[in-house]
Amino acid sequence: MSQKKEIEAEAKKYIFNNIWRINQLEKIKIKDYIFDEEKDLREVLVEIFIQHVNRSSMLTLKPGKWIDADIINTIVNKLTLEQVKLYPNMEMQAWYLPTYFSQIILAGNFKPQHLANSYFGPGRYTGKLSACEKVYIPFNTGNNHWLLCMVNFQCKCINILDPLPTKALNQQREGEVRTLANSLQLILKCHHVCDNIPKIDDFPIERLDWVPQQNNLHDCGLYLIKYLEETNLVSGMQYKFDSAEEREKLAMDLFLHEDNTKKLSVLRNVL
Amino acid sequence: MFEEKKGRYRRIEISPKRALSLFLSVSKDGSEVMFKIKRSTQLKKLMKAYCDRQSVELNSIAFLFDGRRIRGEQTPDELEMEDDDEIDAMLHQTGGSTV
Repeated sequence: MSQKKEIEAEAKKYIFNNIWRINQLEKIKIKDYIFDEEKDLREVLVEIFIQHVNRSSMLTLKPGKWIDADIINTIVNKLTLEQVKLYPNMEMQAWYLPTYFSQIILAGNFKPQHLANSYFGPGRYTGKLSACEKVYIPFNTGNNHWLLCMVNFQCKCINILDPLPTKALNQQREGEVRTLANSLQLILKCHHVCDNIPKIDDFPIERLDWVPQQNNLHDCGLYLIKYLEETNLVSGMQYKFDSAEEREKLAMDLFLHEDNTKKLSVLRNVL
Repeated sequence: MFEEKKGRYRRIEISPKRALSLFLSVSKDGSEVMFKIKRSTQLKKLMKAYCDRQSVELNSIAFLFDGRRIRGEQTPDELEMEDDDEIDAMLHQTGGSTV
């Protein structure tokens, strides 16, 4: 009975176009469609805020696959949009930056003004500096591992959330986090010329080794997404989920999200 | 004059003789490649030409303009590109674990 209620509640959440609701059978059809490797890999299935996911990226959510940047950046866009709705007048408390931001910085030779123009301000990922408490900067190391740098303006510290810490590489990763944090300060100076910029280069780096860690060789992207979505990180916390089920849930949640502007046109092909 | 562009404002110049083509530079790791392209041509043509020249797979590179990933079927007109605008070409990243 409670399961039925749960399904009904979930279906209710996804009312669209005031015409009909999505039932379990339709959900299966949607899942088969978005994960169909025979169909056009470039078909855009999700577009939230200013980021899209095509089928090729969606397929990286299949069990055991390495999750790609477009999935992570769509989560970043979803979270940014939530902040914009939650805190009007650009007073977002959390800023979520896309992986491109860290990628450009870590590649070296970046122009701070170019990054400020592309990623900061209205219609992008940041708001008023005075309201910001945390900046989330997901990044990739070695094109094989995702992790999260979190700059905390309240605690005046920088955290590393690593789904798979490795003694031999921890120092290198701390170096990358320091580069990201110091660059953030440079870019903030470009964008918020009149504001008092926190001295991020003085903030100490602290590894949060107690965050839940992956127990396989393919889920760092999934754990990174969990860290991004976690509103209350506490020591000793654990994630209990089945990787394959969680990936499928993530794909469906992205597709059925109320802000997915491609949902209606894709559904016309599916149902 | 100013034109609203999804919450951002950008200066646009109105010229009676707007050139049909424009020059765009594709920048990757500090090196730039210039392309001339018609405003109405889909950008996948430029993306493919760049990848051919660099001998890399098309789907291994993400092309970004103004902080947004470009889709192949978009045109310079659609993205309101101007002469000498810069496109960032980046490795399309993926991750699973430390190898």
